[in-house]
Amino acid sequence: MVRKMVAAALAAVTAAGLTACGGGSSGDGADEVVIGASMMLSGQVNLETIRDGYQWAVDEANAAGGIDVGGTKRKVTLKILDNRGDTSTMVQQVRGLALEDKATALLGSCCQQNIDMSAQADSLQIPLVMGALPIELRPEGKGYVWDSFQSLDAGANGFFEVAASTDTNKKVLLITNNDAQGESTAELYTGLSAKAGFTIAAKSAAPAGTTDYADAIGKAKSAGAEVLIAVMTPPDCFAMWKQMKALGYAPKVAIGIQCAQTPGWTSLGELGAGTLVQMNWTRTSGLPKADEVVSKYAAKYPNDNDLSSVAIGYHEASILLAAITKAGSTDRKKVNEALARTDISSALGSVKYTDNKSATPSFIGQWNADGSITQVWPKQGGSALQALSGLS
Amino acid sequence: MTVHKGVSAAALAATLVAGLAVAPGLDPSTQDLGTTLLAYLAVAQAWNILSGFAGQVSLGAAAFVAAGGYGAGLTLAHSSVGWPVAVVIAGAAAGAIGALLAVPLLRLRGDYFAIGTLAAAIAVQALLTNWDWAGGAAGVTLPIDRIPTGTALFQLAIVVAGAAMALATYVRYSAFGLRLAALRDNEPAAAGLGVAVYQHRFAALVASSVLTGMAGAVVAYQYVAVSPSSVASVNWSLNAVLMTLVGGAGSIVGPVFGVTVVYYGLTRMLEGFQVLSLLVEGALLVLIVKFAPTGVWALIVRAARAVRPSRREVEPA
Repeated sequence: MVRKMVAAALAAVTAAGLTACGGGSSGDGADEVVIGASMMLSGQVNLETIRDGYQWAVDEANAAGGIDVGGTKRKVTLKILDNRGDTSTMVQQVRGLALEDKATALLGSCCQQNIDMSAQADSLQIPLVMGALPIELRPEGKGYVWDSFQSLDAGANGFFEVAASTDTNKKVLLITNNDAQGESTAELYTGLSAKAGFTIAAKSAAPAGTTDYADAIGKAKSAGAEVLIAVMTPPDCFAMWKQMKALGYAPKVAIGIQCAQTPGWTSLGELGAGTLVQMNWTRTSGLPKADEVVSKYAAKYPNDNDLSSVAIGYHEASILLAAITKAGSTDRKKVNEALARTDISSALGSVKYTDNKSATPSFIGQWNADGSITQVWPKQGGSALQALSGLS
Repeated sequence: MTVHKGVSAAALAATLVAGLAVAPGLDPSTQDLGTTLLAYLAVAQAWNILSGFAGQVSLGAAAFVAAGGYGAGLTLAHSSVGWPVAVVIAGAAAGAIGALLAVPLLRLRGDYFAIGTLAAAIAVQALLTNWDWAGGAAGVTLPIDRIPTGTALFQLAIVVAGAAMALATYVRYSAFGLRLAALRDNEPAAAGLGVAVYQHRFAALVASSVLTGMAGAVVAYQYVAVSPSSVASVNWSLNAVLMTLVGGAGSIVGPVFGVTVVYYGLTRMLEGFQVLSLLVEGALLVLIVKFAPTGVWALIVRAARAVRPSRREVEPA
């Protein structure tokens, strides 16, 4: 037993020793500037589009000799780790990037992971620049988290404008997941629907992972709801769209918030045609770099939804690189202070933070049967709304 | 046995004291890695007490990590008590959940018990996802100014892991542990000799739950936030099983070895190759179950004995 205890102690000491050997590189004072990111790159959600956007911005900066930090050009090293969508893995990776790799700052992931990552950034006092999370959902923090993504409010107004242009009875089925995003979006759409002259005729909130929507669909049919607003995770949305078809419920206008924004929407094929989607970039948006996004990535990512994510990644990384240059240092606190003074224009338009948030533009797109998306709102750069053919 | 017990306790106490003393001198990344390893060690060792020593194979560790994590997180978020008190509440919350779940779970045996505990873990996660006061799916962010960080968190992890090691040592050498082992190896025979089946298994389950809950508090402090996808993830259950089986279930040192190999050797070293890491972990589990069911640590001990055949020692089951 003594041997065992000694061996146990040796194992622990070995682990500690290996760690000590591993933690050496520094983002400050060295030639390179280290930026870290822990992202979902395998598993249910794959953010390779956003990753490509991050990498594009960094490659562009390095091709120009690096970024100017206090009068010296320094190359940027982007360390991206795959967390498989596992929160524990993400937390450990973020802490490793901050404490061991001594990254100057972090770039975000997506959705709920961004909320969990925010807590780490504030705790470790390392700047985190992120998108892919509706600005309203970002919790109050200690000021190290910087969010630029579309405003739910602007997108909702756009949707009701589009819906109002269609001949419907203005009765709405509002179905959401009962999580934070579902509940806040439900509250927002309920408030705005009255102002826009719509009535919430049927309402339902279901836990993520629900597979049976017959009850909600039955309520909608009974109420005669011709407008559908769904705020759900992708698998739930896919299940509901299939059941709507099976049960013969065919609204005249439908939007899939969260779910129709994912590449997996094309798996619905014809069934998804005509569904509306909120976006913060389209190829016809007239935003800076829009043509370059298309020319560089359209072959790899055919539809605007994916290209939008590339633009988000480029946008976030550009904001961070500009802040490091503005700070003239890789000191995290100075970079954070510089982020507060951000005043640039990038792939998603101009950036100026108020309370650590800077909303990007909102667009409403419509899925076509061939898997492409057409902008239908705002009218500038947009096309005419098509019928919701997939469900009819 | 008494000599072994005394030496083990002394060695453990010395390691604890040395760890607490050395902690402030370590750099932050080493402290952080140490905290992670020790949190996993506490969870794995608690699982080992219930499953390795008592023979109740559980897939429900996630439920108790969640109970502890949320117990500590909600206490700090909704009251003004300090983090040490929240750790105690975390242990109590997990122990209470363990005691409640014991009523239906301890009626089950073998595979049915394992499936029952897995169902409990999934139910706890679903409950938390739908519990508004606990933040629902988004969870709760802890007040950053009131949680231990760096050295204090590392020292807390040392204490919690030390408690798990101490309890495992007690179970290994005490009459109570012998009765648990008897129940594990032949329940009818042990019961026939007067061992109180329910009481012993209840004690093992609740003690394991309390330790896992306290480890959950460490995890909550390190994560700074608790959510159903973090502290309530079923991955905690899988990691507890994997780490203990790799090291060797039913031995005190097995989880130490397993945590080091699985977390440091696979998860951390292969963090840039996540798919490969998963494949290796899966393959390792299959190989261990097939060719070394007593774990890698037992293989090493046997190899050491082969080199020094004169030193013989009876291995624990």
